[in-house]
Amino acid sequence: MLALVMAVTAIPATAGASPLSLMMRPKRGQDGFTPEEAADRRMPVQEQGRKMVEAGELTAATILFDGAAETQGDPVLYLDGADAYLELATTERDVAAAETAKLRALTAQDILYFHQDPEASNGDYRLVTDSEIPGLLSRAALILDRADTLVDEIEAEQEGLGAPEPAPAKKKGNGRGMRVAGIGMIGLGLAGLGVGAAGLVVGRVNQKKVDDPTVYGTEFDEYDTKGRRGNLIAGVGLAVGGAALATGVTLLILGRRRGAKAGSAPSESSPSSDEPPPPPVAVVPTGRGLALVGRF
Amino acid sequence: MSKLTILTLVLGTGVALGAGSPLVASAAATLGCDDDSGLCVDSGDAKWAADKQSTSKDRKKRSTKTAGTLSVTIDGGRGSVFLNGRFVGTAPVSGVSVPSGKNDLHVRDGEDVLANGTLTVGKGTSVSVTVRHD
Repeated sequence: MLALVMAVTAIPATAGASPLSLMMRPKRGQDGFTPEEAADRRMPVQEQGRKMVEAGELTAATILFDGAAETQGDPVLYLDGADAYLELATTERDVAAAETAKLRALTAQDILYFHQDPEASNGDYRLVTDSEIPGLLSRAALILDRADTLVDEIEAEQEGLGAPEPAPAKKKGNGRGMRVAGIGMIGLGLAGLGVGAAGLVVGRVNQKKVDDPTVYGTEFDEYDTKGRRGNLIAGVGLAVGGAALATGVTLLILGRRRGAKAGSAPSESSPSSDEPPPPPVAVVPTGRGLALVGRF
Repeated sequence: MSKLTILTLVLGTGVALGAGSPLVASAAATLGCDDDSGLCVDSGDAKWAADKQSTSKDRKKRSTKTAGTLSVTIDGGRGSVFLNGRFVGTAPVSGVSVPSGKNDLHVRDGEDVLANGTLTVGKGTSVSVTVRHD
């Protein structure tokens, strides 16, 4: 790439200043300018720019070529600048630099076609020889093609980088966490039910006291308050306890199922094929109320 | 006529003017350059003659002492501006020193000539032109 830039920039710099052409310099008017004079004027810029490109100072090279090209209106310097921008775009993978390379090449084309137009251009003011123009136009076209290709390449790279990677499949656990949470919730539910039951007892006892016709006055109010409090505790305890127990049982069942699917469920959870699988958890009546039975 | 009627009329006229002005300006802006030559003089003391070239006599008459400035914009595309045989810049360009008298103006995008002719500029005037890019 660097070698190509060097080779291409070297051609116009020396073409206009060949010994033969120097000997045959055409006469010009007072405000005129010859291709040889233009070549002499651009040569130091080209040499400095070439050193910058060799040193990898590509941005500095583009600034140098841009400034000189604009001041001199020189199509060769516009092309040199376009090459520097293209080199920058290649190195930095920068679409904007490639687009700027195209703009510089287009400007060079404008000037070259203008030079080719005998009716419009000033015959006394020539920056390149007529014989150089076709080669320079080809160079501009090549830069435009390369810039287009480079833009496509960079955009394809950026699309590839920007595409979101498929989210890794959420690793499903073996259900152990759910089983533990389920057990915790069942414990909480049982505790809640116990509190609720105690509240019921308190409420019942105090109700009996209140119903006693010998109890009245301040004593009546005390029992009444205690009874109401007991009823409240019973209501809240039973509701919360029941909900927690239901949630815990659900979590426990789901955890066991997930464990079975993952193949890491506890070995005792795999019943023999002869006997029907027992319910994992069951609430069974006992002589004193309900009991939660299960294998965790 | 009551005070209320007068007030209503004044307010109505004001609203109509306020609403109408931007519309007129917007329409003018979107019209662009519709001259057959592809170049329109937007402002300044200048006369455009398409497909003409300055003569040596015209060139001698040009005066940089009474130079004005030139701004060129291209409507609908890009292009480079050449004044009196020299590259001025890629459009839009502004503040370009232009001698009074008859100047050769040429605007092109690659092989396509967008405008070519003479622009006669008054002394010390600021000229603004728009070139249509078909």
